[in-house]
Amino acid sequence: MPLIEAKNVSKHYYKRKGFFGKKELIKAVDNVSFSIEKGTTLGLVGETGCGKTTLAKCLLRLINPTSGAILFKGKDLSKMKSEELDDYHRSVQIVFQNPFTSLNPRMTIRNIISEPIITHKKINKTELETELVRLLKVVGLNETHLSRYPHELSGGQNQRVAIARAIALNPELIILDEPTSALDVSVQATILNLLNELQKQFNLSYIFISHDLGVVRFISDYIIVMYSGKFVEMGPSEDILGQPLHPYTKMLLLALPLPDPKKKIELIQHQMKALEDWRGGCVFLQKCPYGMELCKKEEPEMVEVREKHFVACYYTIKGDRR
Amino acid sequence: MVEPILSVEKLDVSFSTFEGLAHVLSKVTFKINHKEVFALVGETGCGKTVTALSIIKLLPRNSYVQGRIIFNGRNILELKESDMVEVRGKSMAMILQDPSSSLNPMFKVGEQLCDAITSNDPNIKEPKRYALELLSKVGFKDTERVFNSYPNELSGGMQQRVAISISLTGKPTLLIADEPTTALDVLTQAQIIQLLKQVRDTYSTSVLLITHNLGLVATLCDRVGIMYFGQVVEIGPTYDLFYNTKHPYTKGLLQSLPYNKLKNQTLPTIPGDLPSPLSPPSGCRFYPRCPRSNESCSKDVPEILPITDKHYVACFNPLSGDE
Ligand SMILES: Nc1ncnc2c1ncn2[C@@H]1O[C@H](COP(=O)(O)OP(=O)(O)OP(=O)(O)O)[C@@H](O)[C@H]1O
Ligand SMILES: Nc1ncnc2c1ncn2[C@@H]1O[C@H](COP(=O)(O)OP(=O)(O)OP(=O)(O)O)[C@@H](O)[C@H]1O
Ligand SMILES: [Mg+2]
Ligand SMILES: [Mg+2]
Repeated sequence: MPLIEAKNVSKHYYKRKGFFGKKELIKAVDNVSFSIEKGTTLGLVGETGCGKTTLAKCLLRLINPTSGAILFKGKDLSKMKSEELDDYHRSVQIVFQNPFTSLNPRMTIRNIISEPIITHKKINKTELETELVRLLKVVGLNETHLSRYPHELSGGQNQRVAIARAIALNPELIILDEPTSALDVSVQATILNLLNELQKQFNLSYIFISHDLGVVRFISDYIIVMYSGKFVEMGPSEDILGQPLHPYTKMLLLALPLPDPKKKIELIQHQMKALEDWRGGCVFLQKCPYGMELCKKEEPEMVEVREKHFVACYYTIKGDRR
Repeated sequence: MVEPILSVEKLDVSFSTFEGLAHVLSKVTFKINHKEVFALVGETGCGKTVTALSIIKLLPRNSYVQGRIIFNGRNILELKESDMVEVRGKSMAMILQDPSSSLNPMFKVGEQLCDAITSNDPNIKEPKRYALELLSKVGFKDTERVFNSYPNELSGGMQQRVAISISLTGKPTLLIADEPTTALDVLTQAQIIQLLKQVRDTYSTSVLLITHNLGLVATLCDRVGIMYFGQVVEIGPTYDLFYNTKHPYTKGLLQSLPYNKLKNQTLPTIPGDLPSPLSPPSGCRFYPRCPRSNESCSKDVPEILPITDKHYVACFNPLSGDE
């Protein structure tokens, strides 16, 4: 049984266009399904604004999905009793992108890490102290850091604090929303090593959100590519990055600047097509160089083309690929 | 020989803090040539943003600055604020990491753009036409719609392009971009790279790019300066820095990239943390973390010296080319 399963999850917002304007429907997340096994890492990539954080918030129950179901160990969250939900909230944690804004600047590191422990566990003072020291050690810090404030630590150290806080309640899943993008590459490497280490030690699952495909490839077992609220491709990471199928995934890989001055990036100039008779077709059609008639009419569904490798694209599945 | 656009010479910056004086920059020296894209790379907190703020003279009050910053033949550090206002916006502009912080959420993009245009040149007759022209220069097709939008109606990448268009109103000779693409996806990032190149070509602008992204450095920049703890430790053409790396810190950065590595591998890291700016180590600032350090490194400060006519390194024991 998967640890977490999302079935047809959507989150829609209505936004007023202008002051008196009509309300516009924003499908931040639209009918997505996936599952994550224990001890594995799922990478989530996609355009700015495609719905990654919104999906993460749905999983954390910070917001309620408009429709769809989320199952934890086979059990529907919406049917859980409050103790079961407590258990779920303990089991799923998040680490945000910017350690400087996600940690309360007025709290010491001691209070930041103790907070979730005190709220969720009955624990006396000496036990708490032992626990704090253990957690700091796990993330490569020590008790001298306890009395400091976030601004007195470096970006990498703060991110370690955020991770210590996230693992304090022995979670089973940690959602990492761009956890290393504010950090330099050597600090990033220490954080990535730490995450791999913790995963082995505690059999943790991760959802790793990032724009850096190099990092995502390194850390993930599976990758989901998102575009405009939808999943467009999903599969084992070596497959997705080694033999990408969806035109959007291919574009992303071509645009990735490699740390090698001998290589140049390629930009597929995606002219936005004016589409008059376009309603309900493929979300990527406007930017797609291969759009076919069918793509305008019907929305492609995820189809398994290789083992565990899914793609939602008519051109890939049906179109001629000469 | 052609004079560089910008020459930073032995720049020292310290801040007075509650705990004492924090020495943040020490003898930072580099130059940027005409139409060049120059990158500054280095560990979080090593002083890249402080360097940029010194150049555009926007450091907070608790700072002490020494050295020289020669821009277009004048020492910026000696300019009065009234002269500096003229320089900023007109010949020097800065793009911040977070585009939303450089745009005012209360005003439409068009108003902000026209404001910037008229404050640079009060005599301009049709600011709107110029504004639309700038918007199309930064890659917008539906310029009229963008002109009439509020910032929050645009995506992060669009906001960043608007911020760039505002920074171009004065046709700057130097554009400082502090992490302009960190929050953006790779396609939007690629568009912004393209745009920066275009800006350099059409306006003959030089660019100072501050970034952690070595992919960006490799694809976009002509020369790179590597900073460690307030000092420039290696400087040279991009190709040489990647393929003929001299400083052990630069090597450490390049090796810690996860590209082409497998999940069960441990990434090489640079052990230890940045030392405190309140009590910097004596000798080479990198020696406590350096795999190649020896006796002399703890005693003397290595000066930045040329290895070839373009490639400089501050190290007593630099790598030889084939390591
Ligand atoms: N509270 C809200 N009200 C209205 N629209 C929203 C709200 N929250 C998010 N959105 C919209 O939903 C879409 C998805 O946003 P989300 O933050 O999930 O993107 P993301 O993939 O995390 O992007 P990024 O890579 O920039 O972090 C965006 O178009 C955003 O404008
Ligand atoms: N106003 C200030 N007062 C005291 N110290 C400061 C001030 N501004 C910056 N510093 C310190 O100066 C050092 C350099 O900071 P800077 O912001 O330049 O780093 P950076 O290289 O840009 O890092 P990052 O990659 O994280 O953006 C840091 O140790 C920082 O704490
Ligand atoms: Mg997000
Ligand atoms: Mg900075």
